[in-house]
Amino acid sequence: MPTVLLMIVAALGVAGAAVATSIQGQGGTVRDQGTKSALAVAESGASQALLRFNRYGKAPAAAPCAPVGSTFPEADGWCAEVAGTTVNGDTVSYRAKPTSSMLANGEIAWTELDVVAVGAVDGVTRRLDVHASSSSGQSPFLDADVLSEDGITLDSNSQIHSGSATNGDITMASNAKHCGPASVGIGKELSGGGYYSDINCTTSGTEIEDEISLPPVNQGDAPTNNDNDRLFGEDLISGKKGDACWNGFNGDGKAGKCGERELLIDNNSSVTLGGGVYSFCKLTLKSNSSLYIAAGVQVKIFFDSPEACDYEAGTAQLELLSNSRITAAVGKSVNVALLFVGSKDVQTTILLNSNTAVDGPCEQNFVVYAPYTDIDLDSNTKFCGAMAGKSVHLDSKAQIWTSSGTDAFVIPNTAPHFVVDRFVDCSATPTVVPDEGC
Amino acid sequence: MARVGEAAGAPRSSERGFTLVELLVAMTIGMVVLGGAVTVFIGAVRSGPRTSSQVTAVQQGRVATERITRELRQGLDVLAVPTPTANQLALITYVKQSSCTGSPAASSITCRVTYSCSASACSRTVADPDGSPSGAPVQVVSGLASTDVFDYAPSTDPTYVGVELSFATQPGAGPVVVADGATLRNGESS
Repeated sequence: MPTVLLMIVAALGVAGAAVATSIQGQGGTVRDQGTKSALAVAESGASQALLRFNRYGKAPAAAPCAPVGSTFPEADGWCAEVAGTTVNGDTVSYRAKPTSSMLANGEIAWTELDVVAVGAVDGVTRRLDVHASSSSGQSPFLDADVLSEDGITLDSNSQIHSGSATNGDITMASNAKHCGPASVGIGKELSGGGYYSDINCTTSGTEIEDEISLPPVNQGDAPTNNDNDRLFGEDLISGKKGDACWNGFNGDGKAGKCGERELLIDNNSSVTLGGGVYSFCKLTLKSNSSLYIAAGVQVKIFFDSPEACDYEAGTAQLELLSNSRITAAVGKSVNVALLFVGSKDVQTTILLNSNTAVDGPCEQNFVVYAPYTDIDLDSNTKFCGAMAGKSVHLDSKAQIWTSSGTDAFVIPNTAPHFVVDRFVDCSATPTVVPDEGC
Repeated sequence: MARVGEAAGAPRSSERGFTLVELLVAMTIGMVVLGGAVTVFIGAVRSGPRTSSQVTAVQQGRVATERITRELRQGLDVLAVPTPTANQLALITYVKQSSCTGSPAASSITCRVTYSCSASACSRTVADPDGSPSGAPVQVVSGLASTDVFDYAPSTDPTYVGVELSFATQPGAGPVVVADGATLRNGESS
């Protein structure tokens, strides 16, 4: 009998150890689930903070924390904590820190936002930090005149004579040239062709690796509050009135070959813009046509999203055919800004085409900011100014030249639209500032 | 004088033994119980190492996948060179170090992290974003039944990377698989 009892006790002991091991394993699984859930909850907190800032509009300088229900940041520079629970009863909290910059006109632009969010599920807590940027009020061309999210490609004999920066690669054909400081994405490379660190192509150099941020355009109320009505009443056509079409009608009142919010300038004709803000879906300049900007005027043309314009993927929202030009009367590129809302889901393009001799004066003289749009410079196009696109491609013999004053270009200070450009998990519990250990 | 019968002593009621039938029944029950206990004992002893090995594998897999998925989640880009394969992944991501080849730190910087899996183990190497200088490879997981660990979606320019660690356990038992994955939150399409 004692033997039997001993055996039973031993068996129960071993079985108990096995059960304990199993329970430990199950506990690990539960903790894993808690970790994933806590991360998801923390991400929802960060999204909520971004949504509140993006929906609020322009926060007043005296109340930067207004979008998250407080007024001024606390002593640590962060807005007061916002806490709540999810529909599943898990707790989430976040703190936000908006950062402003002062514009030349004294206005405050909220250009950056940091959010630290904490999610807690079943005793597991996870913290994450996101940094977001808005294009409103930013000067994107301070350091480089050619910016691209995906990469810059130079075909044979094409040249860039300005600084450029991309989050992707710079790829050059063997006889292409990049003259000016270049920055490629982290882990990316500049390859082929000739690279010089000065715009006159005299000093060879080495590119740097860095991240750039190209937040999307927020057009604000431009689609409804604009100077479109000036076309063709005050903004006149030179030449025959039937040679230009706006919003479905030619200048002579007859039905034309353009759609809603589309401006088409036919061969050998021109239109002069005198307003400040326009909202287009598409702009097409046929051969030898021109779009002029009246003296003393700074024009901003917002190109609405392809979804709002009901465009299919691949639509060219700006198309300049051979020998056409967009240029300001006083010749400064910053006086003409073309801002493309674009879309992450529907690909759109900008096609610049000019067959004039590249040694001549600049034909295309303006600033393009189109972070979601692919830019293609056809053969022999010469562009002076600054451009930012999803991708930038120079066909053979195309050239981009820097233009004075582009560094002073400021994207209109509409309500900020923050887009995340940095996401990191945080480690230790913060003791001093919310983003400690992130 | 005592009688013989009394001298031999008729057993008192408290001193009566078991009958043969009782003993047989008790022994049978005892054997059955003992047999059951021995079976449980042997089963527990036999499964102990397997359970322990599986638990160890799960723990190891859990730590490794947590580390890899965190770096994927914070990733900017899965590099095209070296070519991403099932047993090799190179990405640009945030790591909490003072420099890419330096010591741990509180804040994050971007570095190139490469995972290479071969001969039943995976190692992790951290380097500057351009690939140099590179730190020494550190083994992060071992005992793998397969070095096919990573899968990518989409297959070119991926924005999501799946991780599947398959551990060999005791002979006769199937592999223990720990699987996870993450979308690159800092990627272009995020």
